[in-house]
Amino acid sequence: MAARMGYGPRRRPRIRLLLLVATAAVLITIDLRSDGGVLTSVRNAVLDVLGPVRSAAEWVGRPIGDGWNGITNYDELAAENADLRAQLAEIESSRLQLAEIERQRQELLALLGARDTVADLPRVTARVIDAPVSNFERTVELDRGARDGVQLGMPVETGAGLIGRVVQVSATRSRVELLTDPNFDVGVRLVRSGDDGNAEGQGRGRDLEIGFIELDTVVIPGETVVTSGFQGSTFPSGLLVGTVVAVEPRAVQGTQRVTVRPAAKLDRLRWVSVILFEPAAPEPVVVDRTPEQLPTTTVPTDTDADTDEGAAGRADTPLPNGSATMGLVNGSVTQRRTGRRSGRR
Amino acid sequence: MMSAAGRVARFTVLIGAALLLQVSLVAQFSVGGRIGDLLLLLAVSAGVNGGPERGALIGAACGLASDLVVQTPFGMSMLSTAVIGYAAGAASYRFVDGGVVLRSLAVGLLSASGVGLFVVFGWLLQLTYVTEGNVALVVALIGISSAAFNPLVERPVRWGLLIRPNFAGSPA
Repeated sequence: MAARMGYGPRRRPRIRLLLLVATAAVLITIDLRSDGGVLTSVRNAVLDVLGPVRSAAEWVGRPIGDGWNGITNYDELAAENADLRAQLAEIESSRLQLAEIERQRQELLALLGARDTVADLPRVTARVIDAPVSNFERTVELDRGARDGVQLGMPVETGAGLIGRVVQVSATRSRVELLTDPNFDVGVRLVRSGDDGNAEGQGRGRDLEIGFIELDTVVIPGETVVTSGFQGSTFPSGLLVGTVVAVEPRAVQGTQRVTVRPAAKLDRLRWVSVILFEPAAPEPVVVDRTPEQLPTTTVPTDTDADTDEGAAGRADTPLPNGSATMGLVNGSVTQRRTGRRSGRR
Repeated sequence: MMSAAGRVARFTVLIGAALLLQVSLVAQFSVGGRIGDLLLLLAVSAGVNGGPERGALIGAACGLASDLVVQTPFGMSMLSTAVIGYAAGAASYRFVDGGVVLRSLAVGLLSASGVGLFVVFGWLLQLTYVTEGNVALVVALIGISSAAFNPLVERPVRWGLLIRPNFAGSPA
């Protein structure tokens, strides 16, 4: 039959290959276009099933793997060892000084009645399954998942600083996108100048870059960079990201490009903390208008500005029928249209 | 004579075992942070020993298994492994009877080409994490490791394909 139709034994493999290629193309398209669809569920299930096998294999194979790495990466390990010894000497000298600074900071927080939000956030400690399954991995696998409270987007850190965010969660496992990944970006603040920007990953082993810092901002190499934690950000404010290592002015754009070296060592991660941080929901847009009355826009006047309430307060102040106002509430623009005030607020 | 279902079952066992070994054992042994690819080796070996049609089918199945555990778009490994399995089968008549050393060298070369193909697909899909880094090292490592481990993989592949050891390339 196949021969009569012109699909002889010689052509059949090619036709099958074409069908397989078409199937693969359809799968790729579905995966790229869907966000968290059935393919993600299948991958999550496989992650759960293979998780214990990988943990057990790592537990058994770690001494052998460490020995193997010692042989194949000896020069790298020796250089890292020397680097760590130098860092240890520096840390020892500044330890006492830091303890005093921390004591003063805690006193000031107590005086101001403020909370140390980053330190107060709940955390889950997770072990890194340090065994990539392919050569093109952009994530690291953790032995904690949704059952432990881990959710998509949560920040992950070591004691040294931020390392990335959770991008896949199954019941017992999760995967973390490292902050050096080209897809990674995070709102950051330069601690000394107070300027905000967006740090973006540049690829494995490379530093982060912040673009569009104004040219007149003085940025000094060595300056600390932390997360800015703007409204809606998946990162809390004040997480250590890294330090500035280079500043490159770009006169044409009137900006400067700042290079940031991550504070945390991203190779050979063993234990990390997932910060169980859930960003505050953005302020909802409240629509309160009767259809028969057209809204008009009221531009805030000097008289408005002189009142005790700020912009946020004005948004909730009763206004004449059919008027509208826009204000900045907690960093996000909200619009409130008011119609006939019928007790609904 | 074994039924088609029996052959499928045999290769399902083989692919499952290869996947388990890849995520547990192979993942522990890296050189410069890079590891071998057992599923790709299985696909190429199936193509070399079983011809283009089986190479493509088994390659697609191996790629799908790989897609389940990696972060690249689902279907990308299937695409590259099916194509390289087919290519291995189409080229196999040149070396399938040439002895294990020649076959292993060919398998190493084809496996390295498979990685190259995967990187090209990654480039076409603008996946920077695939094209960045030391791709040459990955290609070289997979080529060498596939050539080295091919003699160990050939025997189970022929068992899966129902090929008698003395008649390479000829189904039993």
